[in-house]
Amino acid sequence: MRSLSLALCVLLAAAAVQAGTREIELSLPLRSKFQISGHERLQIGPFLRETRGDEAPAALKFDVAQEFERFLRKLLRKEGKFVILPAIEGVRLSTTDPLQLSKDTEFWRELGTRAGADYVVAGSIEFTVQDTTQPKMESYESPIDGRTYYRQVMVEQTGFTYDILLNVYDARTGALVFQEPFKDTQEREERSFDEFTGMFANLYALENKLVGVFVPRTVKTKRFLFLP
Amino acid sequence: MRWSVMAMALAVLAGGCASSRPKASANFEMRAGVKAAAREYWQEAHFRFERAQQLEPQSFKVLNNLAVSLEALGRYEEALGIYKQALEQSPSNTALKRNYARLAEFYTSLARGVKPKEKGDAKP
Repeated sequence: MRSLSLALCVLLAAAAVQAGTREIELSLPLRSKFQISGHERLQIGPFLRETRGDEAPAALKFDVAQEFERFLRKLLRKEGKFVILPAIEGVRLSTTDPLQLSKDTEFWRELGTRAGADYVVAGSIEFTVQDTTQPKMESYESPIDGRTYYRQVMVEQTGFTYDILLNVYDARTGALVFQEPFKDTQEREERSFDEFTGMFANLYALENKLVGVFVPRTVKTKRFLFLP
Repeated sequence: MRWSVMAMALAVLAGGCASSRPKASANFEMRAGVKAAAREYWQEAHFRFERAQQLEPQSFKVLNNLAVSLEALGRYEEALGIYKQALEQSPSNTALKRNYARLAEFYTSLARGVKPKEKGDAKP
């Protein structure tokens, strides 16, 4: 009986909202962060693998920067109407310091001209893998008295952290025209989780943000319009 | 005689045309706006709701519809301002509060740079 009256109340409340209104589907436009027409010629890369301080980069079974370049190239080709130029082999960087490199307008202008690009999308990437074992609070129901207790258990985890700095350079002048940092952390409840799978789990999480830099999108939602 | 008959016929015709043109009223503009919105002609809907607002500047219904059309055109900041004006007129209207809450949620996530939730279901 009570549930019936509750359902009736919910129905009445919904009817009150809907009275004299009409719910419509709406596609909200989202502009791309970097304002371009969407038909430009883009040169993707090079990306530098960054390390913290003087630490040597962790030994991985794959080239993080190269994999990221490949991923970004595929993503922009799929989501946009850009002309993605083929990768240039044997690019010699003027410096390995990402900050210095971003200021080297001559290098970017030369690379852009060589590729025949309108913009060069490059930057730096830091990818760290951390294996940890840490205590975690867990609840359990005692089979003896049926009560809920809390206990500490050791959990083995692998954490993958991304720190990407995406730079866009004007290929005609070599000037830095757009910069956006991306950060993401993913954790897997398993020790020594496969690095390659972990890296792509992070990248898929960042996919939408990366696309949003270059491609305008829409978000579907609903709104009420009042009827006269 | 012939001239006077022609003049009378013209007057009747002109009168007929004038009466067939709909009277400029907020209700008429609102109806036209809602029709255009249902077909996703948002520029037209916005034009109609703007005219309705000129005729009834204090109506929360008109202000709400105008804000929705601004959202559809990607003019989110203006839409937020118009929703606030509408809420001043009718602070307890559930549909209006829901629309405002949904836009506020969307706009906040947009400002934070995270992906706005699809099929917005924010509650007032």
